[in-house]
Amino acid sequence: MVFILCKDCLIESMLSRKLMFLILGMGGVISFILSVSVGSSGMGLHEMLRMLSGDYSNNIGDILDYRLRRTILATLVGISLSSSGCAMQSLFRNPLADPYILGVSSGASVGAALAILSGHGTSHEIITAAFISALMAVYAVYALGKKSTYFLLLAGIAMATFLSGVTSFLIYISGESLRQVLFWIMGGFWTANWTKVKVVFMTAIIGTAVMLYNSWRLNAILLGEEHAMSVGVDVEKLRRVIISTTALLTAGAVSVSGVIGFVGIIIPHTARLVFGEDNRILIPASILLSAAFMPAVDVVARVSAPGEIPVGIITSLLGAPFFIYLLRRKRYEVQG
Amino acid sequence: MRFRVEDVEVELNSRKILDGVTFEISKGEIVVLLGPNGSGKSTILRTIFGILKPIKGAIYLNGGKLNAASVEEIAKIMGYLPQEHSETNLRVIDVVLLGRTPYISVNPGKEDYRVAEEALKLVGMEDFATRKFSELSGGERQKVILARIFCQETDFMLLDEPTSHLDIKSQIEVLEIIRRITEKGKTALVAMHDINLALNFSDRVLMVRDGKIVHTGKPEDVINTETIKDVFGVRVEILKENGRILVVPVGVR
Repeated sequence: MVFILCKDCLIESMLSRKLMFLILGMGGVISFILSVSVGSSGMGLHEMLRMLSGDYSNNIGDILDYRLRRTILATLVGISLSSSGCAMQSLFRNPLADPYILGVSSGASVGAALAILSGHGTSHEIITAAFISALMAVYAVYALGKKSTYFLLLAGIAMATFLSGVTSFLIYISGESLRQVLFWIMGGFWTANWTKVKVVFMTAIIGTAVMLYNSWRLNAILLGEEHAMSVGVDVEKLRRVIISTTALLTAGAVSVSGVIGFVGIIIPHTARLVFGEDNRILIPASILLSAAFMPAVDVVARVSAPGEIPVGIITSLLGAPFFIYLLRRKRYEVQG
Repeated sequence: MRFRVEDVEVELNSRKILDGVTFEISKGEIVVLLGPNGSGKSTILRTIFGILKPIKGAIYLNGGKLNAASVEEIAKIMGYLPQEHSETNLRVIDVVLLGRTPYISVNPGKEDYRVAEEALKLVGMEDFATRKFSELSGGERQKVILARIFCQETDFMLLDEPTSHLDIKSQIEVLEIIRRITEKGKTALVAMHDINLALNFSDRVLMVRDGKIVHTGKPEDVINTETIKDVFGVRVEILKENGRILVVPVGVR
C-alpha cells in the first residue's frame, strides 16, 4: 500500500532527524564544557574537576562562576537570536530577514549610548535603557508598517538607518566614553553577571515557547498570506504575536550582550539546509545549533587575542563569508 | 446547503469594485464566475471568504449571516484556493496538512495525517508525499493545494483560477478532480476567464463585468455572441459540433 510506504519514508526521515537532534544536543554539551574549561586565566578542565573534589585554591571557584555565567549568557543570547531569526524569515518569507530587521539593535544601541553618555553606565542602567529603547523602536516600526509585511520591512530599514545615524552622532560626541559605547555596540559576554543571565533567561524562555507554539501557523504563511488565511490563520494577529515576541527576545539579548551580528541569519540558515523549512523542526534545531555555536564562538573571542575580541566581530567575520557561500550555492533559492 | 450573496458592495481605496452582487448556489453545483481580468471575480471570492469586508450587503449560509465570522470559523465552513502561491521547500504532505490548521491547536496529530493522506490519494498525488513542494510542476502543485482544501473537510469551495498557468492536460486533470468532488455533494464557486472551459465544466455561469453580475444562467444558454461581446469586449463565433460548443474569437469590438 502506497500510504504505508509513505509512512515509512516519514518514519525514516524522523529517525534521521532524531539522530541529527542528538548530534546537535551533544554539540551543545561539548561546547558548554569547552566554554567552562577554556579562558585567559589558563585554568582548564583538570583544575575545574579538581574543584569538584573540594580544592578551591587559586580562585578556581570565582573563575568557574564567571565562566559559567558567561557560557549560560552566550547560550541564551544565541537561542534568543536564532529562534527569532527563524520566525522572522518565515513571517517575511525572506531568507535575508533577521531579528534586527525591525530596528531592535539600532534602538538598543541608542538607549545604551544615551545611558552611558548621561552618566548612567552601570550594568542595570544600560540593560534597562537598551531594553526599553529597543522595544520602543520596534513599536514605532510596527505602528508605521503594520499595514503589510512589505511595509514593515521598509519601516524597519528606515528606522534602523535613522537610529544608526543617531548612534553615530552619539559616538561622535561621546568623548571619554567612546570606548565603553563602542565596546557595548560591538557585542560581547565579558561583562556577564547573574542579573544579565536572569533577564535573558526570562525573555528566552517566554519567547521561544511562543515561537514553538506558533511554529505550525508560521508554516502556513510560507505559501503566502492569503493561503494562511484560507486555512484559518489570522495573519494580522500572528504577525503581531511574532513581532512582539521577536522584540522581547532580541531586546533581551541585545540589552545584555550588545549587538551580535549574523547569528540570527546564519544559525537558522544552517539549520534550514539540514532540516528543511518546517518550523516545527527548524526552530528547535536552530535552538540546539545556537546552543552549540554561541559558547564555542565566545571561546574563540576569549582566546584568539590578548585581552579579548568582542564576540560580535567574530560572528560577523564568520557570518559574512558563510553568507556568501550560501548565496553562491547552486540550489539556493531566494524566495519573494 | 444553501448559499446566498445578497446585494454586496465592496470599496477599495474609495473606489467601488463590487456593486450590488447577488446570487445563490445550491449543494453539489459547480458555478463559474466568468469575466475578463479585473472584472471583480477574485474580489467576489475574497469577500465571501472574509478577506475583504463589504460596505453593504450580506453573505448567508443556510440562512445564517457570515459577515461577522472570524477567518478560523470560515475556514471550517469553506475552502479557498487563492490565485497565486509563494515558493516553499515544505514537503507535499506538510502542505496538505496545512488544511487541518482550523482543527489544530498546536501541531497536527495522527488523525490529521490520515485525513491528509486520504486527500492526497483523492488527487492522485500519494506517491509525492515526501517530495518538496518547490520541485513539483505547476499542475502537480495545483493538485496538492486542492488536496489541502479537501483536507479542510468543508462542503463549499472557492477556487480562484484553478487552471491558470497550467498546460491542457493539467487543466483537464484539475477540473476532473473538482468535478469528482462535487459529485460527492461538495459545492464549488470557481473564478475563470476561459470561456470554453467554463462552457464545458460548469453547471451555471455568472458573467461578471465591472464588479457587477450582468448575465446568469446555464452555460449553453447564457454564453452567446452578445453576452461575450458585452462582458469581454470581443467578437466571437460559436461553433457547434457533436453536441459540443466552441467559442472562437474573431476580433475586438
